[in-house]
Amino acid sequence: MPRLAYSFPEEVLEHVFSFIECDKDRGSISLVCKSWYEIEAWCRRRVFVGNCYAVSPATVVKRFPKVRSVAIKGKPHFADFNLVPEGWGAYVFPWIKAMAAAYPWLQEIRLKRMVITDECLELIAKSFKNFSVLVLTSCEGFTTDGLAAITANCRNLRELELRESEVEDICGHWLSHFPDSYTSLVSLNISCLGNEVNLSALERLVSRCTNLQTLRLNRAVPLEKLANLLRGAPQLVELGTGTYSTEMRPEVFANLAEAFSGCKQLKSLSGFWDVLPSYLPALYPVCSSLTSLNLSYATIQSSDLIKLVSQCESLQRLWVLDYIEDAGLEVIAASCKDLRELRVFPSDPFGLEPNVALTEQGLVSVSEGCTKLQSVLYFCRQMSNAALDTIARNRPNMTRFRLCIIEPRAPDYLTREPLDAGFGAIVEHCKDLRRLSLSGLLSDRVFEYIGTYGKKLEMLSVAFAGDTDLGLHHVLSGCDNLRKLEIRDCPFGDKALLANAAKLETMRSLWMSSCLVSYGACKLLGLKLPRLNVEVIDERGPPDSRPDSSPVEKLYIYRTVSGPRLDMPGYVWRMEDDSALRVS
Amino acid sequence: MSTQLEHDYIGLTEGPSMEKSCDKISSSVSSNLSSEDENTSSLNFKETELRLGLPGCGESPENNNSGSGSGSGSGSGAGISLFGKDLQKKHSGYSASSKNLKRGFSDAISSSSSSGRWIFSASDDATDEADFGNASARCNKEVAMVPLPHSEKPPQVAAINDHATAPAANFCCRAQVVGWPPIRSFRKNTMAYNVAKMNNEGEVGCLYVKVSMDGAPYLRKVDLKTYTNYIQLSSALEKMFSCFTIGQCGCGAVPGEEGLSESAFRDLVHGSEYVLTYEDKDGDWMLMGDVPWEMFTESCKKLRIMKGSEAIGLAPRAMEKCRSQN
Repeated sequence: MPRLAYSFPEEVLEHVFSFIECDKDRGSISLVCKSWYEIEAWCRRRVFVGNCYAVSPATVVKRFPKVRSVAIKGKPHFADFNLVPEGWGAYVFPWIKAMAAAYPWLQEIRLKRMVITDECLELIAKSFKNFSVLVLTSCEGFTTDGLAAITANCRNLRELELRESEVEDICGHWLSHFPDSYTSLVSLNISCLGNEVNLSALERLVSRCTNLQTLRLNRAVPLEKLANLLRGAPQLVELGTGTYSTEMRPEVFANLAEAFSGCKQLKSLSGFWDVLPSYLPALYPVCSSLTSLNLSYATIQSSDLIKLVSQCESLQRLWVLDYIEDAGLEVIAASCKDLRELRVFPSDPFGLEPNVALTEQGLVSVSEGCTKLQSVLYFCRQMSNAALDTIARNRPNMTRFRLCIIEPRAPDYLTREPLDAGFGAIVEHCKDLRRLSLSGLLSDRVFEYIGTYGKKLEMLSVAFAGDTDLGLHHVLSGCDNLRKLEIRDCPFGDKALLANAAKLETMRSLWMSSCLVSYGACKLLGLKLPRLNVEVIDERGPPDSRPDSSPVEKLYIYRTVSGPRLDMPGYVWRMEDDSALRVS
Repeated sequence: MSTQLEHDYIGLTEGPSMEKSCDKISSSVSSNLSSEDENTSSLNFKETELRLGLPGCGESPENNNSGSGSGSGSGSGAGISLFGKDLQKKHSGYSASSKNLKRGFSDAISSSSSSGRWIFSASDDATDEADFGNASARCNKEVAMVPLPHSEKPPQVAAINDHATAPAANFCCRAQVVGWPPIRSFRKNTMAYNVAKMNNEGEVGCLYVKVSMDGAPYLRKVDLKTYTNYIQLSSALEKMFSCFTIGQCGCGAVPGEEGLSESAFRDLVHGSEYVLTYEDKDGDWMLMGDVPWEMFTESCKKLRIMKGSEAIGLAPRAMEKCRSQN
């Protein structure tokens, strides 16, 4: 029988493999036979590490010696909402150190929810001669001095994006460190920086980088300066404005409108901090070609929003505050027939009473009118099973559905029942649903539906829901493709977790906080499943000082091939496995 | 139309499916639990009864806490029968009889053989129902005994927590639950939400600032949090100081706008004898109305109703300041 693996020279296989980009497929290729494993490893150029503690840097660089692009994620998702205490971990330094030695030709680093220090940035700047892409999303730990190291040294930098990261703003001159000869910038996102950057340096940079496609400014860039920047980069595809308000002056307005008309390629707009509505018409020339519009920081009223959005007939993605109201969403349903993604954020999430006329009806309208809608994030104050059922039937093509009813455990406002049936309809009709976030009053029943129908579900977020362990059991036993499960404030205890312990090895991670999982159960899981890290987070002190039956504050379980992590802070305890006990 | 096959639970009492070592472990854990079992055996069976319906069992009596309980967790009796109907209608394979509504955790868990080896149990007992109820109630008791952490952050209002450190219902605002609603810090900071703060008297975050008026013999105080825009504030000030004749404060602005519109602003400045100014965090005196309302309330320390003649020349400085502010 011909050994097909040997019938192609390595170079041919390498060439064939180079067309396979999806990580999952790459993984499958590597399982075929030893030589394919080796060839695939040798020619893998991109690595995605979904959990920085699932594998060690040393293991990665050893298996994949020729990587050019790395993406790593750190903290659990709930860290975004302050549920993970300070100092938890996700330090990128060990990765940078290992890659500095192993990947001199590394070009791209993309990090999410990680801690990156100035030292790391300096190491990047001096270790990778061809470094071209740095994207930091929801990261922290660095200052503008670290950025200066990047801009000063990375001659081939193409993308520098700081998305919603916490940067200590020491000095705005880091941008000026780009040498005058530097022209390769394609994408610059400084939207999260607090202070001013050197504006004239920015203007010069923008006008000499003729390949610039993305420019996301920060709030400190005044509106008067925007027109000039746009004139320097009429080829811009994506723009994030700075502050969008100043004293109304006709010449400023005219200047701005003209500058926008000159940007024929503009497809995406964001920014819009502090909007003065009378400046919005300056955007009208570009509205019809916009595919993405982020107005989620624009505190402007429904009428102004409607005037703008109703002109954006090509819109595919819209992020907006609930000032849009049901009326505005109805207009969107009629005007934006290409809409794929809608996010509606709350303008007053901590107020008791609704401050805007936004209800479930707005979402229903959009689900009716926008046939391509597949991704939703919606904050509102009331919901009904009937509305959810309608939405589900309207949009069986939904793939991401995140609903946040602001009051925890709010029932169907019409019938006072739990919203089980409504969410049940969502999972039943939306057969390709990959991501789901629940809210409102929910019993175990909703989890029964999810376990039954949510076969493609990969990520589930649960808060203030369920009655008994049955709920958790339904999810763990039913959702075949579940990768990430995060739960807070639910009455789930030991039983479901222990009964489905093996499931945890098929998932990336499980987060449970303010639930009823006992310390004893955590110990048991840690003991019997050495390929998981079972980490108890408890700021009250060592869990040993409390009875085994005492529930832990927070629990983070993730699979790993690297064993325990070595950088746990004092309030994190890893449950030991057999091997650890034997050694000691 | 999907039928849920009822599997027997892997069977804690069935020996072959469990590894010996895990039996040992589980029995050692369970021995802890079973001794407590005896102590709590006096628990009312009804309390420990499992139902698929709404909470009525002892383990989660606190579903009504966290602020203004809007009918959450109510009507458990009615809930069960409704669910019963639901079950019958939609899932023929599901347990429709009332007997099965109360099936225990053990009956409901499927025992797929592939995961059989991996199923662990907190207890050997065959009486899962009672056990389950006990375990949860026990957890609650344990939680109740453990003092909540004292931290600078607002206390985590865990729903299940028996401790009831959740604020009493007479707070006039939502108790702040950590991380809820789920909004990223960047957005929270940018939007400068008026996050409610709890204090001992149960007052909601107030933002009282002194208001002085040129020529008035005494000052007043206003709570900025009770207003949502400049129009409301200026009309309140007008009322407050009407005895000192503030002049025209009525603006042409439509109520509900975030900042004073351009025309209203001009009216205020030119039409009236007085001008509304404020001192911000940096100690500068600013003209009211330039910045969005939220930004104003964040940075305002004092209000001053200035004579129009003194306010000339203030506006341009205000603009520059605004630009250099974040």
